Amino acid sequence: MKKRIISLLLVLAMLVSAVAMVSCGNTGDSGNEGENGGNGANKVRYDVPAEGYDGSEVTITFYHSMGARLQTVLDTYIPEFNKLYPNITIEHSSQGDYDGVRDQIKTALTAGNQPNIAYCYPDHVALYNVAKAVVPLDNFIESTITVTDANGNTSALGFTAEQIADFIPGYYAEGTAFDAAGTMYTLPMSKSTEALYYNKTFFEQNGLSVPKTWEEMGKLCEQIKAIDPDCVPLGYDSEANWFITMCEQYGSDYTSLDKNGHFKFDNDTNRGFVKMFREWHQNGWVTTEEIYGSYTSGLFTATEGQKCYMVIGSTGGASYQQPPQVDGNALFETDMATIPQVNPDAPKVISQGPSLCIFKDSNPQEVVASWLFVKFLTTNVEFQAAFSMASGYAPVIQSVQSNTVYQQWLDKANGINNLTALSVKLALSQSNAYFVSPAFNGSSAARDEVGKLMQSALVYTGSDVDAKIKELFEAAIYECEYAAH
Amino acid sequence: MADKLMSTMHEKDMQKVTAMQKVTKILVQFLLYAFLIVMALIIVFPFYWMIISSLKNTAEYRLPVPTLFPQEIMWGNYLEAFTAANLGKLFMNTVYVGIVSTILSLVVTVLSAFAFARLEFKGKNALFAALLATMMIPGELFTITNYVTVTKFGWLDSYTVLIVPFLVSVFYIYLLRQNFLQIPNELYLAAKVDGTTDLKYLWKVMIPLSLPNLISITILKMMGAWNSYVWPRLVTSTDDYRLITNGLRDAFTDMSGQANIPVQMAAVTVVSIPLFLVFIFLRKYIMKGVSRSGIKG
Repeated sequence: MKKRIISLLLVLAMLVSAVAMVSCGNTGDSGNEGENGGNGANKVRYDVPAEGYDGSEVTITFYHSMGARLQTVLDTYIPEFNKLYPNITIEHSSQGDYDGVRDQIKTALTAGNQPNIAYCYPDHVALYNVAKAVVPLDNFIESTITVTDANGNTSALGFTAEQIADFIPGYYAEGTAFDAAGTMYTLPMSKSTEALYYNKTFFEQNGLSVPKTWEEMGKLCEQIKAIDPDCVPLGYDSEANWFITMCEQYGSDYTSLDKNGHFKFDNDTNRGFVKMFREWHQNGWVTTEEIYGSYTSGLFTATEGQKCYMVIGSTGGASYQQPPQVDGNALFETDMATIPQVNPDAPKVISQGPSLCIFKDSNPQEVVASWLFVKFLTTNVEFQAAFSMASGYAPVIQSVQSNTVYQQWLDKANGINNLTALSVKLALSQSNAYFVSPAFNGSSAARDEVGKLMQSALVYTGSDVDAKIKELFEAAIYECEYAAH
Repeated sequence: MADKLMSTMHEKDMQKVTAMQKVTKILVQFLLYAFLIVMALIIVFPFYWMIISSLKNTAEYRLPVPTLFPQEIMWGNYLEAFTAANLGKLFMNTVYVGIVSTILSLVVTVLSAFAFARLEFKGKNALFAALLATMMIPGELFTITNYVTVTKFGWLDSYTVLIVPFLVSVFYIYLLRQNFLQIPNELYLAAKVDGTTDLKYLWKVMIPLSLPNLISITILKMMGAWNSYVWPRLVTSTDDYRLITNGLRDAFTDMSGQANIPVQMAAVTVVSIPLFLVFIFLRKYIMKGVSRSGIKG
């Protein structure tokens, strides 16, 4: 009898907790957002307080993934910001890597404890927006409300036309990749891209020229393979970037914001280039990070055994492509160029690196203060210059290049021991070429799947290549659809 | 004659059988040891890999065919590990949380186990059954609800949040209660006749008799604090309160997502040393705890 009562009580407790959990799931807060859900041609709007920033004391939390060096830069400039807005306290902390930031915020959202500002990649924002947690920025950007800083100077809360024009267009556009209406959810903070690193010494010794198209790249690989039969001429670090970039360069479909069919990458053009690159790999012309088992910079800087003479990798990882030194002498010189193109007259290179997003909060003054800090970080020339020099990432505004200190730093770029500056210089020189893919909840699955597809296709050694490629594409689409639901 | 022959044959048979047994025994022993050595190597290999990786430079670490011994020994990785990860502060946090949570947890465990083992009160068995029932629910399930709770309490980013939620371990209470139950009732009654209070009896009799168990609990709890990762990662956002495991995971990745593995491995080696020492010197108690609990930590 006693046992029965206890069992009954326990069952009752389980039922109560189940009901409690269900009801907890319905406590979402849509924030003070306009009616438009972002599903049509209308942008999603956030109601900016009419008084703008009223000078109240607020504490802003900022989650990022900066290492110690970059945090020092940030700590130097927070006092500068506080000279303008002394009542806004900025508390920032590193959450490890980008995924660490995402995971932390994902959990924090369940308790309504999200930070005010965070480093983000587009697919993170798409994820946060499932809970409608991110502040749409258009009303801030367009705002003409006047704010007065501690020096008594007044300015508009939003951006001026000059400030918008100062952003590198490809980077700025990334903030609008979330819905068909082009609602702006993020501002770029610091950016990298992919570049072609090549062994300049080897190229000069053998009279080789840097390829501008994929066709030229194919021929060059054949030439290099003839010179050094043991080498793999080209290493491409990210299979996923390779696939996505090729889609963009060919103008073929990859993904779309269309809710009825996000994943559009299974088409003839894409199968065609995958087939071509598979042949390249089978000829021993190219390898990738996953196939090689490590970043291909390991092959590029190898002093013995197998080598490669070209690498396509992130400009953010430039220091890893620095030539090895023996007794203080570099074994070769590295140089950099834009990655090969389908159409060199309309180049396309991927845009990577963190953006900033602002989270909704019950106190609108925190949101406005967050906006002011984000505006400061993205438009302050000195900060953008210092951050770029410390990180090796490109600044997001063009006026940084006229900063004297920054100019001097860029001038010291060389292919022996200052590849970082060289990579930033290249990233800045191709500022008209950047693209971003649409971001939606599940867009990272597409990225993962096309990377795997590329890898599996390259290493396939069987005879029925077309059938295998077809199978891989169909499987990738299936996996994406599954992940998105 | 026939008898003699029979006995010689029997002896020969016996010798044969004994020889066979010996061979089989040696063979079994050989196979057993070969198996144990292979297993030991499999277990030791990750530690070996950790140590040699911590002494390589990045270029060597990234070689397509890994080297089994560093070509150039990079002691500097260890120095870099300390500066890059703020290991000193994280180390102190871990020690503080470990010691405080262990002491408080012991107090709770001892008092609860005593109550369940010795005191008589209404609903004792039902309460104990309810507590045991909570062990059926995996701890991970509580993570989100606990997170929401501590957020509402405003405990995030504090030592409290790292210590309080794990003060009560039903399993340790159960372990100690079983131990307390083995102590004869007569001792308790005799002590009562002598006018001893419950607490004094607990302190003077039960605790000394259960000391080996308490030491096991202490060590397992300390190891748990040292190894905990998910919860501290979730509830702390600054190095002021983070624990050592969080630093190890997060501090060595640069902006392009490339981790400096050799330096990370150097830090992991440093952090593993205290646990290694604890195991060397206190393995008797750890093994006892593990064998009784059937689980580690």
